Amino acid sequence: MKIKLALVAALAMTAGVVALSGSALAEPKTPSPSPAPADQRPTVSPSAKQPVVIDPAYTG
Amino acid sequence: MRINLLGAVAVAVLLTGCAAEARSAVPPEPARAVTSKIATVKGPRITVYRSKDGQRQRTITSPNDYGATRVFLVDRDEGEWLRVLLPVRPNGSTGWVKAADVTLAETAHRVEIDGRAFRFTVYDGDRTIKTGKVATGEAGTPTPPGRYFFTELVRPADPAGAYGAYAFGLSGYSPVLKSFAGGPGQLAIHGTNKPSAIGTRASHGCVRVSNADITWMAKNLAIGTPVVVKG
Repeated sequence: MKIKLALVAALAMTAGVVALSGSALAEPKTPSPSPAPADQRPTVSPSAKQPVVIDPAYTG
Repeated sequence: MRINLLGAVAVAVLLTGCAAEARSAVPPEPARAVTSKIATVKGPRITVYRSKDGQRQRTITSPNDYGATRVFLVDRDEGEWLRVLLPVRPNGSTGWVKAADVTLAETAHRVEIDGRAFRFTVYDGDRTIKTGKVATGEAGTPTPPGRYFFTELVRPADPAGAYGAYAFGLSGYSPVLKSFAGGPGQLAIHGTNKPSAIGTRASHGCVRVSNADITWMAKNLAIGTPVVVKG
């Protein structure tokens, strides 16, 4: 009888662990802010800029 | 009965193992490319807000004092509102602009300056695409660590002068010099006519690189490219 009880307890514990794993897997993920599709986001073109010809006044 | 008990334990272990396997079978998140957003001002001026509730902070004109169209590095994108890094004192200032007032573009490039090692590194995403040596500010006029971006590209009228072949203005300022050479003490990365000083503390706060390196940057990097200076 004791052995039967131990057997039932072991199976119940296993079912609990499996159920918990399942709920963790099913937990919805927080959606990360999704950027616009790549083809809609222009990439800056380094060659598009024209340097200003001037005597600059930076800190040298 | 002992065999039955052992069998039950074995089944339990197997079931638990299956659950763990199912968890590890979830595909990992795809690696994200490292990109930065650059906001270009559409009109002749833009209102910068302290917060998204519409409290005005300041108005910034475009083009800037060098005649370049005003850009900002986007610090946070919240759809209709963008928090941007501002090219004003104190260094690191931010403000909110309306997304409708700018056009957005992206770059995977960024520049890192390691002041202790006197080195710069240019990245394209996670990939290093260029490295070289720099000169930084002297002890009395240090190059302040921080996060900046390129504000304009200048080709000095005298390419044999102190600024070398090109100069990229930065969005930051000297913590010591409130004005310099008629300007507001703005930092820059530029070439040099004293290549022997590269690898030392030699400037008034600017980052000097070789003329070959600044020419490469001028050809390959966009205005708005983020620049991180590490002390």
